[in-house]
Amino acid sequence: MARPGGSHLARSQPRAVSPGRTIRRFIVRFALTWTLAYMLLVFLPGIESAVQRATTVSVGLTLRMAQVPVEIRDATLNMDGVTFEVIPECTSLIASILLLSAMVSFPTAPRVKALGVVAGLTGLWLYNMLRVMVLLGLAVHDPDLFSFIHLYLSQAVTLVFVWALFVTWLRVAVARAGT
Amino acid sequence: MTSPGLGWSARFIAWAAVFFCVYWMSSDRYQQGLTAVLQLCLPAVGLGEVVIDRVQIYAPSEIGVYAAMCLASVRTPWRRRLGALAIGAPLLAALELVAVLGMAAAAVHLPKHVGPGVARRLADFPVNTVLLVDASLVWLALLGATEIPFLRSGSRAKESAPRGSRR
Repeated sequence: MARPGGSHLARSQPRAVSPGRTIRRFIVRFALTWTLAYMLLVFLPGIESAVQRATTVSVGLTLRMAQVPVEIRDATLNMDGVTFEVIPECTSLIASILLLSAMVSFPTAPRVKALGVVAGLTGLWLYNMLRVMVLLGLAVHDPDLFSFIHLYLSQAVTLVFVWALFVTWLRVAVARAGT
Repeated sequence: MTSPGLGWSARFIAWAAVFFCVYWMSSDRYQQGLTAVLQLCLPAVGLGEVVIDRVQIYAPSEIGVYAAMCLASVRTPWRRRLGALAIGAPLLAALELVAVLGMAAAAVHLPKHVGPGVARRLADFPVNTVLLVDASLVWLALLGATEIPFLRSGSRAKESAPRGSRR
C-alpha cells in the first residue's frame, strides 16, 4: 500500500551504514558483553561449580548408557582406577560465553539471536561432552596421547568449533533477516 | 549466502591445521621466550620480587588462529591480507604479554581483597580474552569490513525491515 507523502518513504529507506562503523560497533558490543558475562562468572562462583557438576554427571551418565563402567562423585569421574577431575576448563562455560557474546552483539532480530544461543550452547555442550569422553578414554588407555591432546589440540579445536558455529549461525541469521 | 562462506570455513580449518603443527612445535620455546620477556617486564608493574618459572597459556595458538583467518580470507587482496598478518601478529604477541602481566599482578595483589576463588577467575580473564577473543577481534577490525558483508547486510536488513515482518 502506497503511503501518502514522500517524507515517510524517505524515512523508511535504510540508512547507509559504513561497513567499518558496523564492525566497530559489533566489536565494542562484543567486548562489553564478553567482559560482563565473564564478570558474572567471576563473582557468582555457583555458576561455575554447577556447570562442573552438570558436565560430570552428563558425561558419566552417557558413559553408563554406553555400558562403560564409571563412578561419578561430585566433579570427578573414576574409570578403570583412573580418577579424572572435571575442572572449570573441562566445561564448555568459557566457550559458551564467547559464542553467546558474539551472537548477542550481532545486529539481528531477538528471536534469531535466541534460537542461535539455544542451538549454539547445546552444540557446545555436546561437543564438550565428546571432548571429555575422548580425554577420559585417552587418560586410561594412552596417557602420552592424552597429554598431547589436552595440552595442545583441545584448546585450538574448541576455538575453531566456536567460530564454525558462529559463522554457520551468521549465515542463517542474515538469510532470515533478509527475507 | 552462497559458497564463499563455506569456502572460507573450509580454508580456515585447513590453514588452522597447518598452523596447529607450527604451534605444537614452537609452543614450548615460544613460552620460554615469553617467560623471559615477562620476567624483564615485571618490575615495571611493581612485581620485581616475583620469579616466574614458566608461563603455560597455550600461546601462541591464538596467533596461529589469526594467521589462519587472514590467509583463509578471500575478498581482500593478498597484499592487504599479508599486511594484516604483519600488523596483527605482533599486536597479539604484545597483548599476550600484557595479559600475562595482568594475570601475574592479579594473582599477587587480588587475593587479599577478594579471596582466592574470585582472584583465580579474575586472573584468568586477561589470558582467556587474549586466547579466545583477541584474534577474532583483530581480524574483524583489520579485514572484517571486506571479508564479512554479513555484518553490513545484517545491520541494514534489521534497520529496513518493518517490525514483525521477519520470518
